Amino acid sequence: MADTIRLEVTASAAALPIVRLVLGGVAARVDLSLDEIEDLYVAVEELLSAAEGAGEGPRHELVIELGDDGVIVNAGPFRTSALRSRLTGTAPSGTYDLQTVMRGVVQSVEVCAAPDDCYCVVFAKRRGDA
Amino acid sequence: MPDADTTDRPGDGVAGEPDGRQMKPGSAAEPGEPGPGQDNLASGQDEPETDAASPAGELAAGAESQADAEPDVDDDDLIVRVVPPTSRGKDESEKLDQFLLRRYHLHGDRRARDQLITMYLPLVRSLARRYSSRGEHFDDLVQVGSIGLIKAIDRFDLTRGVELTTYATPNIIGEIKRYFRDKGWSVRVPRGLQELNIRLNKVIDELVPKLQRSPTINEIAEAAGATPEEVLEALETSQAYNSVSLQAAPNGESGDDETGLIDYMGTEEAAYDTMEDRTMLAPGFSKLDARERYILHLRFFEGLTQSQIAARVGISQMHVSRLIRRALEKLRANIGEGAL
Repeated sequence: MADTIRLEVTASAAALPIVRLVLGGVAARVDLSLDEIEDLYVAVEELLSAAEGAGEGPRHELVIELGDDGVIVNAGPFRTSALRSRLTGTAPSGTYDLQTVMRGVVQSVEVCAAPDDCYCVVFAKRRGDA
Repeated sequence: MPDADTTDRPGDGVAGEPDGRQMKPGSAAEPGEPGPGQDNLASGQDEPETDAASPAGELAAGAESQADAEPDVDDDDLIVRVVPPTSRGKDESEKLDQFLLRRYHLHGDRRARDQLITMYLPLVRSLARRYSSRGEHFDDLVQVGSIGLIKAIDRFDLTRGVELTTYATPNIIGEIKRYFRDKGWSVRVPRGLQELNIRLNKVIDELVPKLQRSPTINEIAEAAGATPEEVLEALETSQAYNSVSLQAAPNGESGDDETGLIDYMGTEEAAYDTMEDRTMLAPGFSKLDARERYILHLRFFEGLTQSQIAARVGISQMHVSRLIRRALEKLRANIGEGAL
């Protein structure tokens, strides 16, 4: 069974350095490269910043799962439609929005249903895909 | 003894100081810079005039005539009587320094220590001014330099036979330089991590072309002689280079508007729909400089990795990482939190 690490973080910028350290430590165990780790950082930071801006919070859980060739992060629960639309909407060509950024730095971004009408965001970063 | 840092010593090359003596009270100082004891702020305007008829003048005269003898100063009058006259000569200044230093180190007289600090504040100001063009407030540098002065006075060894200025000057400069080294990182980062971070920059720059790919943390750790945890921690410190006050205006703009960055944080903007957010992106994007736009374009449209961008732009991968984050933060700040 894959190793799983759960982090409960406040929706604030102050938590980001801790998230980065944990995420970096986990990613190093599966030998992600520095670029790939940086991509993971960007993905988490952008997602949490967007969540904070959308009025989500005050706490989120990050479940970091170690796979054979990478890391899968499950973040949530979220409930606002504003955040969901930014993750699932189609960004106009030539613009930067959350979806563009997330898909630019990780291999897959999915919005999955969670209890109590909430949803989670699941994204994966695999080795060798940077 | 202090570091042998003599490059910035006051008095170097000063006319009338051919023997390399340091600036002394009453001797040639930097143009427009009063010597120790001559500074209005330091000495205080309430202090007596330092002419020959003043108590300080008496002290100077007494010191001149009594050679090595201690000035006859009543304890209660110490502060008043030792205020150095502006016209005191070098020998008199040295005599006064030695007297006060003996009072402090041999008799524990704190007032003598205070008086020495006050006398030499202008020296601190003179040295601090040399570094005031480096983006730090002059008053902050004076504060830091004053710590160096106090350390010099406290650690002064009477048996060494050196002048206080000779000993204090490198101490003051050292303290100011140390401040710059530490202050370069707006969040206090242990020096070991700072140094490791600098080393990692070099290691990463060497590994990327060697491996022809971005290195892993373990590879970086091995090359740098550190543990993976230390590497991660040191890399994290690279985010501590700069910080912005929450009260600061966005993008450093000034004006009557007192809105600060803090007003952009945690606001309820969920009502914006996606279309509005996208519309707002354009002006935000225009606030980025050309390099930031280019790097974002390379990263998110051309799909280049940070290392590839680093190679193309000619900067380090860590610098690319910082630029990407900064650009995204700028975008968020310019278009409103939550729009990106």
